[in-house]
Amino acid sequence: MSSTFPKLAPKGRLKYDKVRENYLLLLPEKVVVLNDSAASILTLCDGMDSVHTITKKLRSSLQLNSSQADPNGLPDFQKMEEDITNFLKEMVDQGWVVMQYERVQE
Amino acid sequence: MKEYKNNRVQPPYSLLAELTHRCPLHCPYCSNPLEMTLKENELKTEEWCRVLTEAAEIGVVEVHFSGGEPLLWGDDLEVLIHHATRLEMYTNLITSGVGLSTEKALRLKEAGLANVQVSFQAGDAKLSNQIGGFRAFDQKRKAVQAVKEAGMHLSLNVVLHRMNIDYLDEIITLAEELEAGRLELANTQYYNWALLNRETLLPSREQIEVASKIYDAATARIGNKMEIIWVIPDYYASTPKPCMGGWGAVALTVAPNGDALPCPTAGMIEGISFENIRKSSLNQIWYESNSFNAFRGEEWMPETCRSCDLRHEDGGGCRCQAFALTGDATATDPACHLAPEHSIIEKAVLDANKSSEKPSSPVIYRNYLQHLK
Repeated sequence: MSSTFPKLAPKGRLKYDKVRENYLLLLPEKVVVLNDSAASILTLCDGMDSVHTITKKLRSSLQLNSSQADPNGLPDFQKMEEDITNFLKEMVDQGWVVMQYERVQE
Repeated sequence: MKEYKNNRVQPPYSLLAELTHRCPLHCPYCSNPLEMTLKENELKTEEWCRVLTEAAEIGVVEVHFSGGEPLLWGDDLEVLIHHATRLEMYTNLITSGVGLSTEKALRLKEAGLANVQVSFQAGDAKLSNQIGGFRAFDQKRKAVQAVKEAGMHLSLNVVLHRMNIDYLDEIITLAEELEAGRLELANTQYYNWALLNRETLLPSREQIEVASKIYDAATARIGNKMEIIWVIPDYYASTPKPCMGGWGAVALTVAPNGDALPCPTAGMIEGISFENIRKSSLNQIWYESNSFNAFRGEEWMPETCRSCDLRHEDGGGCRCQAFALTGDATATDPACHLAPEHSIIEKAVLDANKSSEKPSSPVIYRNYLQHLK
């Protein structure tokens, strides 16, 4: 799965809600309130990046945000990719994310 | 965030924008009020745009354009969808499908429309047309095609009752054939027109049980290819529904004449005066109005609910149903088996299960012209 390209399902829209100060996933007849990590993964699901690349991007943003900039404080890359993969599998099961085997052509 | 009394009032997530009560269909279970709004009293484009802006400001993120038939309200529907989209709201069109051509669907999609929910009255033309009181089935199929061609998400909604629940298999097959992303199987809720026709519409326990098994088998077979929603009929449940997620808790409705309501049927409750968006802002209505605060929290609850552990889950049930059946909007919802007036529900259920004979009363079709305010 690490070389597949996750993309938000066409029916879903991601929105930062200023009133609630939270990311939301808007769906037909449903609003999902996202926690920070779910939101940070889903914002990268545009069909352009593979799960592997998404993991890299998230890891480097964690690095930037970590005050100590201590690479040992960061989660193991493989473990992180596994967690992201599991999360995305759940999203696919819900029908909120689709997996593509090729990068989206702009 | 504002506080009212001791209850924390949260921002609303969704707005049901009922544009008009006019409709080509005459479904005998329509949730519209018995007294409908005249065309000339309907809100105009500028007024709806203001409602949408104010809704976004207080936290609404999903708008459902409904009716009646929202396509009959006017061509400016595109303007409203465009406005809501610019406000980053998710837009949904709830339609009979009548009047939704491919060209229209493409224009609505262009304006930002995300989802279209088309109603069907049954899985086959004859019964569907008979229930809706209008030959709409073929037009509905064309509308579905138009939605698909425009590339929007498609939901189907079928209200279930005594006359069509035995054909649930056909309904599910139709939804699969039309490649709907979502199918709502909504057992009739008995307010307004549906309450008038309850004797004709309320299914027997056996019908519900058979249908429930068909639903279970379909979800197991279809998996996540099509989301199927089965709204449990509260006449056959022992506890009431937490209607709308609670009175003034997550959603609000604006009626064609501008009345702001906590739910689409709340206007039937006598003794509560609902504010109108022509006179008050949505913010004021949501947080401060007596009508939206009437059944928030637990202070209004009767003893049966106050002393019950389930009060946090069902909030005392549906206020409209309490009023419609007992005449008292603060009563425990009679659908609850602990309600002092549960016998009203038991009697209706008993009648529906008495015999296989057809109900004696004639169907009263929803009629716009004879029931204007």
